[in-house]
Amino acid sequence: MKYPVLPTVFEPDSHYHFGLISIGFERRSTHLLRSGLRADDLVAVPFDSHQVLSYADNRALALSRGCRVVDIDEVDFSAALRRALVSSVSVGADEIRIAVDISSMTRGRLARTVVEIERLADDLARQVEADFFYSPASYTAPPRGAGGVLNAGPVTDEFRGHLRRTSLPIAAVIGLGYEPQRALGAFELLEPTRAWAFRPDNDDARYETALDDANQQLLKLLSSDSVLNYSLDRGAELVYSLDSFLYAISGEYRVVLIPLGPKLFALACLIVALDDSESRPAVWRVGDVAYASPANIEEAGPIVGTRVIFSAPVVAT
Amino acid sequence: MATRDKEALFEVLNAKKMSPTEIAATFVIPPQYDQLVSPDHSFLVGPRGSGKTTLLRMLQGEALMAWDHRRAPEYRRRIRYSSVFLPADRLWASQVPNADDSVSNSDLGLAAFTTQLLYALVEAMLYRIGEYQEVDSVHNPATLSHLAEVSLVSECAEGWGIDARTPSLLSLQGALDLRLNRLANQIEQSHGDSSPPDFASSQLPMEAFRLGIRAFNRHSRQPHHRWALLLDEMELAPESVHQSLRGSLRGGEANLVLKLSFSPFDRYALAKPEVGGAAPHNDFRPIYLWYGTRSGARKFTTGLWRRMMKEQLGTVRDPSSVLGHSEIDVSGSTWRKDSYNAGSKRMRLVEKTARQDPGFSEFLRNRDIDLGRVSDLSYAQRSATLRKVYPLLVFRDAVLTFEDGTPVRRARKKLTECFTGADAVFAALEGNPRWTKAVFSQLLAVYDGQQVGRGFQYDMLTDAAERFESLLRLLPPDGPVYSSRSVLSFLNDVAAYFSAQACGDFTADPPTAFRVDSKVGPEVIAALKTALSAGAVVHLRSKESPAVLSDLVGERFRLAYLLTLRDGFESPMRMGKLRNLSTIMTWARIERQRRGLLDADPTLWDSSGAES
Repeated sequence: MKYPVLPTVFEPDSHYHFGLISIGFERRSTHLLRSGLRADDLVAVPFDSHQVLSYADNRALALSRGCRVVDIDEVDFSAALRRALVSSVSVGADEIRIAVDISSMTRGRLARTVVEIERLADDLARQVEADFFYSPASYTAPPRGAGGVLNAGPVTDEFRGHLRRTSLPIAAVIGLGYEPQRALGAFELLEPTRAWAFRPDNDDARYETALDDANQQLLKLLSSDSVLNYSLDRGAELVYSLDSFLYAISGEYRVVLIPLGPKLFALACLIVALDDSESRPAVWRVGDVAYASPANIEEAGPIVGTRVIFSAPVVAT
Repeated sequence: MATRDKEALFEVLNAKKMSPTEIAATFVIPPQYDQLVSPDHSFLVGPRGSGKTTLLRMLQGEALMAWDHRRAPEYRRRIRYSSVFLPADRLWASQVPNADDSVSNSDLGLAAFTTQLLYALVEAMLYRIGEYQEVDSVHNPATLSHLAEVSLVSECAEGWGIDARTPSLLSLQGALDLRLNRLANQIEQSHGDSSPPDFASSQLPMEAFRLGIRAFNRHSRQPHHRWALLLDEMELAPESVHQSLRGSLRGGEANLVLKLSFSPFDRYALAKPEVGGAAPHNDFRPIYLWYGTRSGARKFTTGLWRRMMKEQLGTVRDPSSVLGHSEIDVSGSTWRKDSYNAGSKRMRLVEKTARQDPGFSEFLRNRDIDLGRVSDLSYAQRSATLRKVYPLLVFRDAVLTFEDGTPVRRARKKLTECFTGADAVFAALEGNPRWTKAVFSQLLAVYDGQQVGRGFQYDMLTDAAERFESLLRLLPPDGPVYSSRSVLSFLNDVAAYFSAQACGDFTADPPTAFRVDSKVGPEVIAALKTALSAGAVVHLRSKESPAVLSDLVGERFRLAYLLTLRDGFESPMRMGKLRNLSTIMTWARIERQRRGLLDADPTLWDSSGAES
């Protein structure tokens, strides 16, 4: 793996040079803030659409806690984050500490955040210690109906994966979520030679049932040893497990990671896909073109922290 | 009861993943194979899952030599050329720059394609000289002396602009691998960056390819040996690749034939001579891999059934003995004279419908048919009326009940009656090898000598339909117009229209097909193109249809039968009348308004294709 990854625990007294949260329609998006997140520069980036449900409360809270609220078009997210990062941390300590609340981020925003933090470490030739925090979601029923437009493809250009010979077969590594038909649709679209499903453990029986219902058809196609469970309370362990798994299959297959389900799995996919080797996997997003029906999701359970230590590549002299 | 191994179920679905031996072991010869093996340029046209990859791969030497079939020696003799196979897939398409990217990036995409093409050529060369130890015998073998190999590698390396570390074909292949890796790095570095790439090949793919085969032929002392380039899923290749093939299709060298597979819609007008493309029947032979009629697919599907049954169970049984007869049987083979007798199962349904359904009663009256005196009718009269309309009665009885003479959808439908049995299962699968293999493998897995349950048959078909639906939700409309509704949504509108017509007032010939008229807008066309490529709609070719479609207006289509057995969208699996597509779209808009769906889904198709 390109960068060391460690488990970390959220502590309100921790010092960060830069903090990043999203302001969205779900109450969960300010959980870290409500839990006491502090940083020298605490930036809150609202989503530019679906400003409903808890959006106004979240925004007001962010302002009251001294956040710098940066309103942008979502397409400008990378550039805005880059500017914010550079202005906050370009001078100062040798080691930069960043906190990111990933719970309410879209996969696209999460991918851009990971890329920008890596770029920062490269550009400044300094070590960046980034703590990604995830608040598991309370249960809400999965969306119903199948009328909306879905799309599938690389989450961002940076995660298209390394171009290799098409005579090498495709393997799909699918993180299961509870939205009906998505995992199956991705499987049908990619036509992989092999597929594995990563299934999140969840104590809520309603979620387990919804997950199994949504993936019933796909699970029929996979042998039991192709379905791997993972825990939502151990992010770093998930990253290492996924990395080892990829190491084992990447020689034989062109790998596509499809992180449906919890954002923690999406984070793990993005971190392992930062690999510079020629077997670097692609990371695909499968989702609605627009939110079909926003839901006011609340946090449930303890915050899970995953620390990634980004460092500039060593240049031979 | 036998149990189906899940890995095996997964394995039967896609020819790309199979080894040549596996491909050959499960190959059932469709009628199109005979056309494909000829030493002509061929366009293998068919929707997703129609068996294009399998057919192309069965032209490769490895598969031909592994093929154990009584006709295999004949085909090995007929195929005098050596095949080079290059697959494409959606992952590759998402990684290779296309026309939307900058010109320099587009060049990189073409260079990556060329490099892969040459890699596959060298692989075929290595096969022919017997370099692969696991291969027992070689189709069209060739011999290269050491000196000849050194010269060949030297010429190719120079012509292709690469550096082979040692003068061997393996080293040449290694150099191509290295070049692809460098190109991949450049493509990644160029994302979002308009600076020109520091490496791009000036090689045109076909020129480089021809140089390679000429050199190999010369050094192997087979100057006239013919090669075939097999390019799979051309619709996924960038436009620059299509452009590079035009010249080769229209002329080229006698020692090279092209076999291209692509979806029924020719996006880049490769087969449109008036804009510089190749001319059908002159420059290339079009080969179609779908069946507009149920009988067309029957022979191939039966062959697949026999092959799979033999393989899975070691025995062969007639499909009707395993799945039972279908009440929708159109062949008429299950109708006997006593089927018309009063009290027979079929006449009971006819009489019951005549009592309940005023429309059917009127239909009988208009044709002077007295159900009490059916025996007075001639064979031709009975065939043209009762036997012809009977499948529709079965369908309506399964889906509808009558309240005071008005048809109303049943709360609990009897769908196993009209969508199961050998004829119905075969019809639903359309001769599409991917669907057919997936469903047959599960039906045969539970066969224990007794007829497979009707409920299980229906469940397997609806499972296949659900898998197909999940794909259709993800496929983007094929057109420049952004659509806020999915391809599946469009198909559901069409399916709902046909279902409403079949379930409304009785008509002996409800519409089940549509014509694309000039009022249809670009969003609908874009959705239709994708649906066509996916196999969700079937092109009903006429004598006037172009060899390969590059314009849909004026053409006739029907829905894939797999989409017509879904709950709420049921319609009979038969050819019926045509409707203009714009009429259907208008109906769908009004129907949505009537059902109050505007708020939930405000973006509607209308007759002009614009959102309302």
